[in-house]
Parts: sequence; structure tokens; C-alpha cells
Amino acid sequence: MQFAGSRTRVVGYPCPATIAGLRWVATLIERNRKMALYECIFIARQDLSPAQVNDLLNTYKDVISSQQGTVSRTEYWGLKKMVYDIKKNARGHYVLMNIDATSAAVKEMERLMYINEDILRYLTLRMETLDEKPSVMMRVKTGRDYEREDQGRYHREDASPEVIVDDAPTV
Amino acid sequence: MSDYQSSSSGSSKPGQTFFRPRRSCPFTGEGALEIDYKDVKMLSRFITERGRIMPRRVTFVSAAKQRELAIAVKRARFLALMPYIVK
Repeated sequence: MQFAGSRTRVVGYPCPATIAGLRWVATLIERNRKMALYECIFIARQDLSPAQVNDLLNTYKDVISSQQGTVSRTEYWGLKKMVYDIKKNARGHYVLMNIDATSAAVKEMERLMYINEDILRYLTLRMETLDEKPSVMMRVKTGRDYEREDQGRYHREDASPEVIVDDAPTV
Repeated sequence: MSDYQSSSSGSSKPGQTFFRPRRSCPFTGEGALEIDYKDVKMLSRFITERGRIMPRRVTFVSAAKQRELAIAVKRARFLALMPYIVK
């Protein structure tokens, strides 16, 4: 209701039928084509074999690359003991990915992760820069060797995490 | 809280109880530590025995870095790399 002397402002979306409207629609499309950097970690349940985890990883890599994205660094931290149980799993397969893709691609990947019962948790973070060096998790063993030099050999046997490099054969 | 470190070097002035030398933020300055939610070893320096995040007045972390630190700890907790609470 408009009264004399009152100031009302109607805010809405531009109509796509106008030139300005078309320009606005173009920005929406443009925004979706922009690529951003993401770091994604997911935890797969402990009953899976490393090969199955690798299959999952490849599925998501395909999803990303099919939308013109790239997956650079991938790490497999192994079957780690979790600090608390998740869905009755005491341990889980941890996988890390560096992603350069559009938000639509990442959203699709997350949607598949949500649906998949084998994925217990996933966390995707938008990053300003991506670190391609091995993450802190891959350096754990060297720290421990420092403390127990005589037992270093023995303890290095258990659960050494593998670095799954892009396109390299895996377990 | 018994699990906070508190150093008291006695000051001879009456009325002054705890004197702590002022330390700088460990995350600021050249060659400083980086806050990474994956670095559990570094993050666990800033939580108590029960797994709670320590306040700034104990750890001398700057305000902005304390916010980053808290977010990192919470992410680590979500990924079951750190506990929410320790009994």
C-alpha cells in the first residue's frame, strides 16, 4: 500500500526478457563456470578393502574431470583408528583430494558421497591456495622414528600410508 | 583449572600475585607455525587434557589466530582426528 509521501522500494530480480535481465542471467552462468580450489577429505568405512576405496576415489575423480575439473594431489592415510566411533566403525579409510573444479562439479561429488553408504564422513573446504606437498599425515612416521630409533624398523611395518599419485597403479 | 599452566615468578611488590612474562603469538611473525586442521600434533598443544580449547590468556595466541585455531580444532574433531571430550 502506498501512501502519499511514503517511500517504498520494491526489490526483485531483473526480468530475463530485458537486456539487463539477460546480462544478469549471463552472470549466473559465468559464476558457475568459474573454477575454484577445494580440499576434500572423506572417510570410508572399515570393512572396505583398499581397492574398493580406490574405486570410490576414482569415481569421484571421474565426476570432477567429466565437468572439466582436475584432481591433483590425492592421499590415502590408511585405515586409521578414529578418536570416536562413527556408525559403529572404530577405524576408517581416510582419503584426501585436492580439487580444482566448478562448484557444480563439487556439489555433484558431494551429492554422490551423501548417497553412498560406504562413506561415513566427508568434508570439502574451499581453499585460497592448494598445497601439493605431502600433507602432515604422511610425515608421521619420521617423527616417531626420532623417539624410538632402535625400534624404528619394527614399527614402520604397520599401516604405512600409501600416497596414491594421479594415474599411478594402486593396491 | 588444574590443567592450565600458570607460571608465577614472585614479584616483591605487595598486592601483585601472578607475574607472567608476556609471550608473543606462536602463529604470527616470520617462520611461524601454520594452522592446519590436519596437524593434530600441533593442534593438541592448544587443547586441555579434557580436549577443550584453551583460552587466549593462557596460550598468548592473537585474536584472529585464535579464531582460525578454533575452526581448525573443530574440523579435526568432525573428522575424528581429535576428540570432542575426554572422560
